[in-house]
Amino acid sequence: MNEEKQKILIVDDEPNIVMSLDFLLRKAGYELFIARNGREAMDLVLTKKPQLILLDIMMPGMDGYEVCHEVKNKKGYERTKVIFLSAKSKPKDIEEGMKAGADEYITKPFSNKQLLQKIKEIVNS
Amino acid sequence: MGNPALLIPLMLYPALIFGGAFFVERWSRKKELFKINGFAYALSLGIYCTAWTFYGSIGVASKYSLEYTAVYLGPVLAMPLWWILMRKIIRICKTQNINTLSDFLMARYGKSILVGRWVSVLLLIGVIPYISLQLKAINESVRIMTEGVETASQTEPPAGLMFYVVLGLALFLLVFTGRGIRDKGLEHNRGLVYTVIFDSILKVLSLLILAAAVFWVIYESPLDFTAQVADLPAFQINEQNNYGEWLLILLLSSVAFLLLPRQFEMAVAENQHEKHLNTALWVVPLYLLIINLPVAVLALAGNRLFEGMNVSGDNYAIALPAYFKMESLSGLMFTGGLAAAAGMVTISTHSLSKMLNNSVVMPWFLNKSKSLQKHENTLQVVPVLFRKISIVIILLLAYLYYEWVSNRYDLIYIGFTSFVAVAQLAPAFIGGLYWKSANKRGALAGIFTGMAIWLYFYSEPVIRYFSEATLQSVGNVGDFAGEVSALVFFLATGANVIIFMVVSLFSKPDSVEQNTAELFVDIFKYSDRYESVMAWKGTAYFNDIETLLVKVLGESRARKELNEFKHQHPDVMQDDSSAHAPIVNFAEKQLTGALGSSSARVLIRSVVKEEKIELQDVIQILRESSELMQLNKELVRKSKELKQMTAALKRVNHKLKQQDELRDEFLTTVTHELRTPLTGISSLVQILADNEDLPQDLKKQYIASIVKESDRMSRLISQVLDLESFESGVLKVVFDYVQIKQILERVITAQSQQIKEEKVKVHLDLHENIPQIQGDEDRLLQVFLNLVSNAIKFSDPQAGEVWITGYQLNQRVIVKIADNGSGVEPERRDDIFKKFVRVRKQGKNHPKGSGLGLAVAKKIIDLHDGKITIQEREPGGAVFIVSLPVEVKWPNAYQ
Repeated sequence: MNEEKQKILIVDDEPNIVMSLDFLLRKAGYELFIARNGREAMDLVLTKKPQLILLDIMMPGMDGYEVCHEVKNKKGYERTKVIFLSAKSKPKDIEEGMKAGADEYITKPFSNKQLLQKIKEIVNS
Repeated sequence: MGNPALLIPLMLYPALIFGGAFFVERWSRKKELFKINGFAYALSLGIYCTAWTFYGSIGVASKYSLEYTAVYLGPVLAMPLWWILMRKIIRICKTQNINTLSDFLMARYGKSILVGRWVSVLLLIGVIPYISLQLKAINESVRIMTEGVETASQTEPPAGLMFYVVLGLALFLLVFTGRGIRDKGLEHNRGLVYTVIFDSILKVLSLLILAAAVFWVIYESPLDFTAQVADLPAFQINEQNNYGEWLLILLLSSVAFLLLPRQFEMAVAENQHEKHLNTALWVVPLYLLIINLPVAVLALAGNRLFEGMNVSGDNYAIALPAYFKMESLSGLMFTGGLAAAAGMVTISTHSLSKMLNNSVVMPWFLNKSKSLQKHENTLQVVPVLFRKISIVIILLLAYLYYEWVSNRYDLIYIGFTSFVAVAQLAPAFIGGLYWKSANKRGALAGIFTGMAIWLYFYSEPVIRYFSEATLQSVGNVGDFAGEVSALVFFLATGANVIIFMVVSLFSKPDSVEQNTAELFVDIFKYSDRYESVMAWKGTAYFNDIETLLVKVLGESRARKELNEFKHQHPDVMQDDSSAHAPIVNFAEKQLTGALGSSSARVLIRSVVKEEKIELQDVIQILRESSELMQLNKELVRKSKELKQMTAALKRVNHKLKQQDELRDEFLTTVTHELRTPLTGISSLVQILADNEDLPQDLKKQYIASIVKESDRMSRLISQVLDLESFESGVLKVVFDYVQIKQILERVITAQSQQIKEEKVKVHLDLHENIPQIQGDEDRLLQVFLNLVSNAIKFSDPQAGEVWITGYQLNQRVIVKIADNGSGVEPERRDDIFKKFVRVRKQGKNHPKGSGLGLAVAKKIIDLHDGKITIQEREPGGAVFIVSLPVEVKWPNAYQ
């Protein structure tokens, strides 16, 4: 493990969900950035270069699929991991998420433990 | 004779006409050029304006002022009637391939060859004087050109000139009529039609140019002109005008416009499409109006300039430019007059020759010389030959009439003679179109009576008597012609109508006549299946008919027509040895197009054995036809119904599908909206459970968030249920009398906690006299709670303010709820009342709303027959306006 903290970007417009994720991930030792919409997210990806993005889908303006697609197709950022974290749970939603290039798709509501487990796996893979 | 203004037109005009006609004929055959459109069709009807317009009309205007317009006002006024008649006539003629007036009357009156023959003879007698009148006009104009404007003495015209003019016209006709029977569009002579159109344009242009020359060359300006002629007798309908005479001319001219052979030729035989009538309906009156305007100007100018000189008004058109030595203008005017005369002569002769040949000469020939017909080419060569001989005969007769008679009479007298003769066809013609009882005996009796009276008055003794009078007193010719013609016209036509009707009523028509009468009067019912509604009985063999068609039409065209017919009537052609009625009718129709009805009749009779048709046969065939028609209509109706039903089903299906999709989407959205707060709750509860050592303040914060998210969920659930119940009709508003004021006060009380927490200022301004209204108190409370709570939530985060106002306006109560927040963008204002649309940005750290509050509010207000809208608040913020009726008029609301 690197000495430097691994960086995670949380993208969600629900304050309470952000609050709980903030607590969980800080405790697990990650460095966190928070974006409330797609545009903010893209800015933070470019400036902070996080290893992982926790990405909601339904957001005003640019949605999660677009953010994922753009990051995965950006030169130098292809290796950025993306986990969708969304209340959309239909098979076709998940399929579209994977098509956009995501590494994992977790539906809301989630189990804290399982979420942390998945994040760990993916960040270190 | 050395005058170039005379010689050049005499050379140039024929060259132009010949060349132009050749060019058009050649190119219209090769390519789809020179099509006749509605406008061209209307212009070709300008053939009505002859040399009379050029010379006689100006003469009448100079003597009797406005009376000259009557000849043109007749057709103009009768134009709508003309349109109605023409539509029917054209349909009849197209259905049966008829292209002459005599064939038309023959086909109407039981296909009687006798009718065709007599009508042709009558028209020949009636129109020849009119043709000779044109020759006279040409002669007059030549004389003025050569001898100067004053007509002191009636000198002899240049010897032989008229003979050459007639020869030229004959040559033109011999070349351009009756060409190519083997072509399908046989009777459309485009070259001829285009020369007529060219003449029409030339006539009107030359008159307009001369009028312009009067205005701007002879005088200084139109104003100068009017000032100069101001003292002349006023141009008006004065007491001298005889109203009976006006009526006569109006009647005669409208009948002439309908029935003169040259008009029939252009309007019916050369008509390419019924819809062209619509253009003619306005272009023809316009043309007649425009061509008449210069006439008045020229008459006035002539009266002024030739005061005290011996210049006849008839000659002003040429005398004016000649007097002022405007040579090229003289030439132009002479050409215009020549065009007017030549056009009339060619088309009238063309039409008369067709009738003479088809109805008189050919039937006679076919009956007499059966042996000649055996030769293969006879039936193609002989008609053309006879046609050319007819042309020569007619022109010769006209020339002789001119030499012996016309030379000694005024133009108008001869014109009337013709018009009155042609008018004798009107009763049988128009009666035949609308009256089924009109029959052959009546028609012939009427026509003979009218013609007898006409002949009596215009025959030799009368001519001799009046000829002395006319030669002595040229000035009285108009009066004389008017009086005599009025007498003759009303006597002849009146007797004609009475005899026609009486004989028709008291004589029994034969069954063929009844058949043709039915076909003519109800043409619009039968026009698409003429072959099957004409009764025919007898024995015919297909081979004989085929051979006959080939003989007349030529191999290629006959085969083409037959194939077309076979294609359209497959049922008729099953038996290949003996032919049925439709094929016989079809063959007769084809022959009519080529040789006219009479010859067609004779030829058909020669190859088939006909039996007498009984009345029952006619009734039978007409009944079958109308039954078929009924059946057809029924079928069309049924298939239309089916189509409509299919379309309706498709629509319903589509709507159901759409509703299904909407429902699906709604469910997905609700699920998503429920999962979101649940996620927050679940995650926070897990944190609380896993971390017992959590600091107190974090614990408190998390628990408060959990409570808020739970509230959000329960609110969402109850709103979804509300909306669903309203929409499905389970939940209804319960109407009672309620006080808006009380409701709003309760809202403030309920919100006091929130108001305090958010430090928002609330202004309540309710008018004293707000009436009680009909409504559901609980539901209205729900609406205003939602609106006020939104206003508080979205007001300015630092210094929030909310205004609630209520007042009465007419029969409605208005409540406005305003805030000083960031407002709503105009383009999103319509969306704000839709489900799950969250438009406004939240200023403070509120959890999201359900996205359903305003949708529910709108639903409730709608159920109250009210309105909810949103507006911009000045200076910034949003205003929600609720308008509720004092009394709900909506009857459903009470249920």
